[in-house]
Amino acid sequence: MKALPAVQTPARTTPVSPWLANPTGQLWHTLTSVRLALTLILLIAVATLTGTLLDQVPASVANDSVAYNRWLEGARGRYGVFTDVMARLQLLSVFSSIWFRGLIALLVANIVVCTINRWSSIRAQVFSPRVRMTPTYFDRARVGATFSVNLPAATAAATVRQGFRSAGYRSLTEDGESVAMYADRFRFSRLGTFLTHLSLVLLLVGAIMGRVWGWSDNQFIVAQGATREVPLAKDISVKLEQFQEEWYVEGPPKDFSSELVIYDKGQEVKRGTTRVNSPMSYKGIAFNQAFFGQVAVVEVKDAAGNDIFNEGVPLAWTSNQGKRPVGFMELPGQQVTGYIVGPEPGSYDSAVPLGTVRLELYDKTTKRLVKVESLSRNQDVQAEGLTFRFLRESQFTGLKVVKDPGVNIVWLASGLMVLGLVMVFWFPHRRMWALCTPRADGGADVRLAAASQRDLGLEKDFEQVTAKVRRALTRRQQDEKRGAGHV
Amino acid sequence: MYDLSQYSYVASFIALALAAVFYASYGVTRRRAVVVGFDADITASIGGPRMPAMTASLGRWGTILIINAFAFLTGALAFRWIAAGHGPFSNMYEFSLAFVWGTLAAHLYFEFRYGLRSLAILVLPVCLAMLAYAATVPSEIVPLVPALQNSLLLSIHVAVAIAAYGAFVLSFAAAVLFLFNRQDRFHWLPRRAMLDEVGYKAVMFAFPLLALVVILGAVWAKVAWGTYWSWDPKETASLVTWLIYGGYLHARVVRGWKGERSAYLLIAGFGAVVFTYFGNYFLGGLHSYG
Ligand code: HEM
Repeated sequence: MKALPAVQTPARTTPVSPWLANPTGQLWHTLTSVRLALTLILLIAVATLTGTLLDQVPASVANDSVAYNRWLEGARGRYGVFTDVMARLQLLSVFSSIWFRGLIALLVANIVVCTINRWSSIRAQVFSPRVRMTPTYFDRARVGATFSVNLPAATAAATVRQGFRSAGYRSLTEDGESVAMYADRFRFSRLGTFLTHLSLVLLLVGAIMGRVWGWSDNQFIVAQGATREVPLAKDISVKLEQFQEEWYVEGPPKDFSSELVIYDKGQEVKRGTTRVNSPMSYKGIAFNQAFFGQVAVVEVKDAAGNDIFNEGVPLAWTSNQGKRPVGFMELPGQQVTGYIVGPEPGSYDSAVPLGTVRLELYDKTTKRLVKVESLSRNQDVQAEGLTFRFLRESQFTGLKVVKDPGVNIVWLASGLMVLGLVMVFWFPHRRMWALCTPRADGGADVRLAAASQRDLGLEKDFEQVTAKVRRALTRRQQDEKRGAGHV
Repeated sequence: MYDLSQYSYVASFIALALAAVFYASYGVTRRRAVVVGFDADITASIGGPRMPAMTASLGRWGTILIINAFAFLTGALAFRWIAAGHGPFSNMYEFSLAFVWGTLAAHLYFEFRYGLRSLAILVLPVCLAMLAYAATVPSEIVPLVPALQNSLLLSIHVAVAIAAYGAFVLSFAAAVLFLFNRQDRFHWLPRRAMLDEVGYKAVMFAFPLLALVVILGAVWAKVAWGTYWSWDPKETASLVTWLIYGGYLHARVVRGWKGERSAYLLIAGFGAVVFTYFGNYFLGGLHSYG
């Protein structure tokens, strides 16, 4: 519904707030303002800076209340009594906070409204510019020049056009008593502003698509020789043929790579190597090399001698107390679950000597530790009615498996953004006008002026163009004189 | 080659320090000339302020020294490139040299194009500080860790950043002088309108490049880590920088924000550049080169 016009009551002296009189109109008006844009951009900059300076809740912790509380306790050490207030204000999770998203949403609305609002005037400037300017315009122009020539106005105008052309400007002419001209260069630069602004909206669309339809598994672990299903894409499974690491003689790592086979519904569909900086991908799912570690291959038999477990256990976690790598094994149908603990890397570990692993068994119902044993290579150890045997060491690869259907949109938007910015700033639109007015003596006055712009590059460009125009006019005048002499 | 690179670095440091001395004397004598002999009435009658010969020659020597420093620095980077077998873009030492290189290039451009020497008052100290900082960090060539081995992407990413940062130093210098030269009261400094212009020109050049830097960073993150944006502190800090300069571009068309406030935004933007640059020291994250 349209707001009704306010009834004219002369007695009323306090003006009605435009927000009450015409809320939608006022909202629209506010959203066209560059001042609002400036405010929003600076607020977002401040918010982003806050998010960089304050510790932010890691994504891995955000959805797990126990882990989150543990993290918050850690943060208390830094922020003391302010911690809870800061957490309440979402200062420790700025980038997923409601207020940050609100700012972005406002910015997008601002951009869209601004674009719509300015479209028709920009379109006119680019596609149907005004050709004739009044003499007053030339009088007032900040950047301008006047030449008096002994040429008829039409000839002078044609020569000025030549001058424009040789300077790389296209020109439009409007004949009349005086000849008016418009010349410009890089007119599509104007559209660069739209490209830049709309690319920001597109960027956001891509990012949201990634959030809604994408997922990522940062801890996808496959032991050498094993095949695992991708938990978030059940049809796909991955086998690690071999993991390889290379180190420089000086010590730092040089390269890690995993030879993978990808299966789709059990069919082998792809085979290749994934390494840091060159992920493998299949059906829009990217497999990135992220980390790696040790595996202990363990065999477990029950009292009857049946195999109940025979696999590599990736020691992919670290123990709470020390820095020992830990892995978990599920023992189906048993009262206990097992943990395998490896020796602390890079130091002498008396509790877990090199070449052995420690077995810890926990009761499934009480969660209590019920047994600790040391497993040496190829030796049977009896515990809780089961026989454990540590067969050998091996390696696992840790992959980051990501599906992001918005990523191509993000790249498209990025490309458009850079294109738009280059158009706007490196090829600025330059506009000039000329007016050739006939004089009583048969000559003409040629006046030039440039549309003012915010940068002085304009003046340099104008000087160059006027120099060309002047040269063309001078030459033409000489030619005419010479021609007249011959007659 | 490595030694040659080190010598060139030292030579460029010395040349730049000397240049600073020459520019400072240039500034002082020029100022005296303006204050003593060339007030408005007199200059009007002789057709514009003319510089005493000594001042002019001090300025010229300053410029020559900067060109020398620039050439030595080019040598230092080139020799290092040959010695390491990859672009000199992988640790703080190399970044710092490249940063100064970019800044000197931008300065020389503005000096020749607009005849502006005075910006050196601020540009040279920034460069000298950066070169001094480079002396405090390890300069050995170490092998690249896997994430940095994507050398094409890395080289472009850093080279573009260097070009942008160099221009931002210039816009910073212009903004500080702009604020200092209120009402154009210091005749020995460039006019405010010119300083405003230089600040804007530098941002016009650098803003698209900074966008490209952030985007290339995202491409690289996608390739190396699987996600193009993870709010990594260094990524985020360069986004903040970009936003501040974006704010500046809009401020120039908002009433009440032209001039002084815009100049403050340029200074804040440069603050963000420095913050991003040294971010490794106080922000954790994936971008740590040591
Ligand atoms: C982060 C968000 C934004 C970025 C990065 C951005 C970027 C830019 C750039 C690069 C320019 C070109 C500057 C020039 O022509 O001198 C520009 C101009 C402009 N922007 Fe934005 N913009 C953003 C948000 C907005 C918003 C929300 C609005 C809505 C009011 C807006 C309105 C304008 C207008 C009206 C201009 C033209 C100024 C003029 O030349 O008269 N911008 N913007």
